[in-house]
This record gives sequence, C-alpha cells and structure tokens, in this order.
Amino acid sequence: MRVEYINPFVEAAFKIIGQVIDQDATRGKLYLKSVSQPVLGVAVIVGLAGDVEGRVLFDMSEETALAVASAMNGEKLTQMNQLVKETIMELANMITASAVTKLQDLGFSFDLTPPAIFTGVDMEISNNGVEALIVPMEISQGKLEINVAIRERI
Amino acid sequence: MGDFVDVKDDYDYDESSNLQQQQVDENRLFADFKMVTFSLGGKEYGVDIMRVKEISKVKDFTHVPNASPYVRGVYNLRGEIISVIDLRLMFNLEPLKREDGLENMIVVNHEDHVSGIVVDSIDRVVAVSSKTIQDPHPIFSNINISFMKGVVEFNEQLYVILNMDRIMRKKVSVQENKAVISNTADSFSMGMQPFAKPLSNSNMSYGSENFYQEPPRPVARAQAPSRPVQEVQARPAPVKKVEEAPQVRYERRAEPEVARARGGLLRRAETVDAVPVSAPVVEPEPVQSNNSSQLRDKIVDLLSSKSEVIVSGVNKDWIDARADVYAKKGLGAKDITDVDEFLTGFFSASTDKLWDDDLVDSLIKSMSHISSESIYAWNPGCNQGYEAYSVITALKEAFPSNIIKLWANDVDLINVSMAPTLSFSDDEVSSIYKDYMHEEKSGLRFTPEISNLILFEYHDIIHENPYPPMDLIVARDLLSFIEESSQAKVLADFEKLLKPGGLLVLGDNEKISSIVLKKVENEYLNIYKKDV
Repeated sequence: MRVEYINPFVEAAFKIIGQVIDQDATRGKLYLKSVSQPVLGVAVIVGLAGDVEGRVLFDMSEETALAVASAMNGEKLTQMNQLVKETIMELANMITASAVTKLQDLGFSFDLTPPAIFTGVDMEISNNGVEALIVPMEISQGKLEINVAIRERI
Repeated sequence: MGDFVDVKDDYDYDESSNLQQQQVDENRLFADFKMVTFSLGGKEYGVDIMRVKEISKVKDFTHVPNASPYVRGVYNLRGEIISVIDLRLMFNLEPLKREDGLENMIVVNHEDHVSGIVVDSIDRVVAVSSKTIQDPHPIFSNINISFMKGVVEFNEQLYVILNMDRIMRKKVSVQENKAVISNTADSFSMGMQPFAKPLSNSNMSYGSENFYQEPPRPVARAQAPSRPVQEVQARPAPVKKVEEAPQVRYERRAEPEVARARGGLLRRAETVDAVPVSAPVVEPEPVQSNNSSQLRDKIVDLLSSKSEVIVSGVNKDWIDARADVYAKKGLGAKDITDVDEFLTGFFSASTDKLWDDDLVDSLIKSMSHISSESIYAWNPGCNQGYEAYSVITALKEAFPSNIIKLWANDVDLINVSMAPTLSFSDDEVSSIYKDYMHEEKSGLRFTPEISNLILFEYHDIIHENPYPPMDLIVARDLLSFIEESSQAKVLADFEKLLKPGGLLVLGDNEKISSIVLKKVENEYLNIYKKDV
C-alpha cells in the first residue's frame, strides 16, 4: 500500500475514536496481512474507489460493538438491534470519510461507498490479490481492528 | 486506412442441417460455430464471428498517455472513436515492427461499444461444430485459461478460441477507469461459460503471461561437475527431495533433522572442485574435515539467530567460501563472534546510499535493448529508498522521453515512510544525480518530476504482487532475507512479471538458477535477463 495513504487512516481512526468513544484509545503496531482472516463477529465494510480500488473493514466482537454503540448513544444497549448496527456503521463512515478528506488534501481523490455491516459467527474475509494494512486499536470497550486493503489503479 | 481485407468463407453450410445425422464429416455437417481466425506470434487463434464487426488495415493510432502498455491508442473508425489494443503486447510477445505501418485490426463488439484488436495477420473464416471445441487444456495456467474459451482442431491445425469478453473487460477496466457494467446477456449462441469471477481477481488483472506457451515446468537438471550452480527452483511448489538426490534445496531452518540435511548439502558441495564466480576468495580449498562441516552448521545457526540473512541456495556459494576462509585460518566455530564481520563483503556495492556512477552507467548500458513505450520498474526491498532513487535516475537518463514508473516497496514501515522525503547532503551526491535535484531546507532533494515517478509502498513481497509487466526489477540482497519456503514464490513472481527481455538485478553475491532468466555478463551488477 502506498505509504502516503497509511497515515491518514491511522490519524483518522485515532482522532475519531478519541472524540466519540474513548479518549484513552491506544494504537497497536501496524502490520500487513494477505491471507484470509477470521472476523470477530461484527464487520463493517466501506468501499473505496477513485485513484485507488479497495475497501476498509472495521472488525470487532459483538460485545465490543454493543459497548461502543452504548458509549456513542449515551444509553445502555444490550441487543444487536438496528440502532446498534447503524451506530457502528456511522462510526466506520466517520473514520473513513475523515481519512478520505485528509487524502483529498494531499491530492488523492477517493470516493466511498455507503457502509455495509455483517454480523455472525465464524466469519472469514478473503481478499484476493490485495494485502491489507491492519491498524489495531485498543479501547476500553475492547479491541477494534481497522483493516485497510487498497491498491492503485494501474 | 479503411481498406477491407478479403475474408474467404470456407463453407456454405446449411443452417437447417439435420443434427441427427451423425455421419461422415462432422465438422462440415454440424458446423454451427464460425470463427474468424488470425495468427499471433506464429500461432493460430480464433474469435467468434458474431463478435466481429469488421476487419480492416489501419495505421496511425492516436497514443493515449498513461494507458496500459498494450493499449495502442484510439482510432477514428469512420467517425466513431474506438480504442485499440495490441494482442501481441497484451500477451507479452515482442512488438511487431511493420514497414508500412499498416496493422491488421479486427473490430469487435463488446456489449454496447466496439473496440479494435491488432493482430499479426487475419486468415479466414472457419466453421466448426461447437461439439468439437474442447476446454482449454489444463497445461495452461489459470491466467491463460481466463482468456480462452477453448481449443478446436480444423484441418489438422489447432485454433485457440479467445474469450473476447474477458479480454475486453480487462481492457475496459484498466483503460476507461470506471466500473464495468455487469455481464449482460451473452451474445453467444453457444453455451459458453459466462464471466464468473469478479474483476478485481488478480488472476486476470494483468496480461503478463505468454498466452500460448506452456508454463515452464521444473526440470531436474544434472549439475555439470565443472560449474556448481546452485539451483533455486523457481517454482511455486518446490518439491522436497530425498536426501540422496543431487539437489537438496528446501529445508526448514528450525528443525534439527533438517539442519543435518543442510550440513549434508554443504559437504556435498565441497566435493565439487570449483571456484564460485562471485566469491571474494580466490581459491577456496575444499576442506573435508569434520571440523569444517561443524563450522558451517554453526554459521548457519549463527546467521539465523543473530542476523536476518538466511543461508540458502541463493547465497550458499559465498557463505561456503567465507567459511573456508575461516577454516583455513584455523578458526573454529567458537571464534565467529561477530556476525557483521563474517558478512563483510556480502552486501552489494552501494548499499544504503546512492549508487556509484559506475553502477548507474552500467545499468543504463544494459538496458539499451529495451524498447517499451512505457518503462515499468520495480524495486522490492527498497529500504530507505536510496536504491529506488538511483534506479529512477538511471531510467530517466536511459529513457528521457518515455513514460517511466517505478514501484518501490519495503516491509519496514518506518524506512519506507521516510523514503518519499529523503534528502541528501551535498557530498554524498555525485554529478549524475545533481541534474535531477534541487535545494531545500533539509538538504538536496530530488525534484517532484523525478520523485513522482516512484511509488513508495508498504508491502510485503511474499504476499500477492499485483503489478503490471516490468522492464526492470532491482532486488539486490532481497532473496537472502526471505525464508527459503517463500523464495520460490518470489522468484516465480519475478519470472512472471518481467517482460521478455526484461532485466532482474540481484545482489552481488546472490545467484539463482532459472529456466527463463539467464545471467548477463556485467562488470558491476549481477543481472539476469528474461528470455525473449
């Protein structure tokens, strides 16, 4: 992945999560992954198009998703209902949009697709041909992985 | 332009032929599939006649900047602008130079637009029975198959029937830079397989395979006693051979069993009485003592624990010769305390700095045969980027007016992140680079015109390498850092991604043996060239 793309995603994730969920969020070590990987339980995908093609995947367990949605809504949510799903999608949208805005400032033009959410058990995501940058985030509600797989159009 | 070529119709077949009559000449009686045949690189191909709008001889395409290499440009076909692709380039064959400049073009329909494909020569229309069309032979790799609909025999001549949808899709996706409409009703009357895989599938992203050639198969070759070339089998699936086999290659590092196997390999190599070409020692005397094999085992362990260098067929010659130096001095395994000292002289000239002028000149000279319009190069393991800037300077010197693009990547995030803004002090820059630099606060930097030609990426080469066909790959001292189990995959990617005639530059003390990559004599660089 082009090095210029990395920072905007990391910064955006850090900033938005700090603002809306947990001020003390910490970031783990970035790494690359290309094989298929298990999904923790709740996954939101935002597609990217434009100068690049790819997608950003936000991955967390159901408990984390409920806790995050509770924190963002200011009320205790215990069921994976529509509100929780929409809250998580909104979080993904905010982070991706913020990253894309930063990238626009750097002169790269990207478009996003509306987020889509997947929930279930024993899910796996495979990406053929594109390796993914993993940005692990530790928040008090649990672990959130941001998985960015984009490549240049050639 | 616009002259029509006569196409002979081979058969006047009767539409209403009775399919029940399974008699005499099947080809003739049930010829329900007509194809326009053409040749490309001496092989015969066919394309469904229902997709062919017309055939013409044309010249003077309008070049489209930054299009894929196989896109010849656009052409004005009686007021309609069509894009034209060159199948030779798409299938990685040498471009054909025509004296009159007139190319044979087949104009094909694809969904609601038309495009041109340039081929060597257009033959005729052949009618065959769709029943006789066979699926692509499994000997072709996946990538090849994706462009093929099938193979058919006619008059003792085999025709490969191309899947125009696939080829056009690939082109449209790349050239027009927009999402492709999903495959609507296929215009084929035959039950051909519809397009099934998503566009982003890497299997079909680049036309980097020679279409008709069988993929080279791993061939076990006997080692000539006079020249101990270490085989690195550049096949995706290296076969682990028994210990007694003449070439033992892929052993895992950690297992003690295998450590012995490696020792065995080293001992076997000693018995071959010859001097490695690039070894720093003039005459490494084979030492047959038990002591020396222990020393080598120790060195292998030492290197794996204290450095990132991995002893493998790629660098074994040098390591062996170096171990001999130690053995001759009477030094034992315990005397090697400093790994860096042991590795003195292993790394290539001008590592972690801009290349010396000699290296740049020698790279420029060795690229004189390259005639691509767009020059694509790849520098995996670019580290802080010095090598990438050196290579781009050489490319710019060698091809001042071509489109140049260099992908440089490294798995070290910190190093490669700094690379786009690398700056230099005046004394580390020779005059050859100064032309492309300007002064900034932080020191001398390459101008945006140059640095924008390089795309620095955070990327691990052992993952998928989704790149277009390359004219040049510079991977000095890279294979020595890759686990043996992954080396074969990386080498296979190199072989696949290089255009015919493309160059691979390896580290000064690295060595590979490949069926398609041949060593090129060069004083300063260790260059391999892909067979044309």
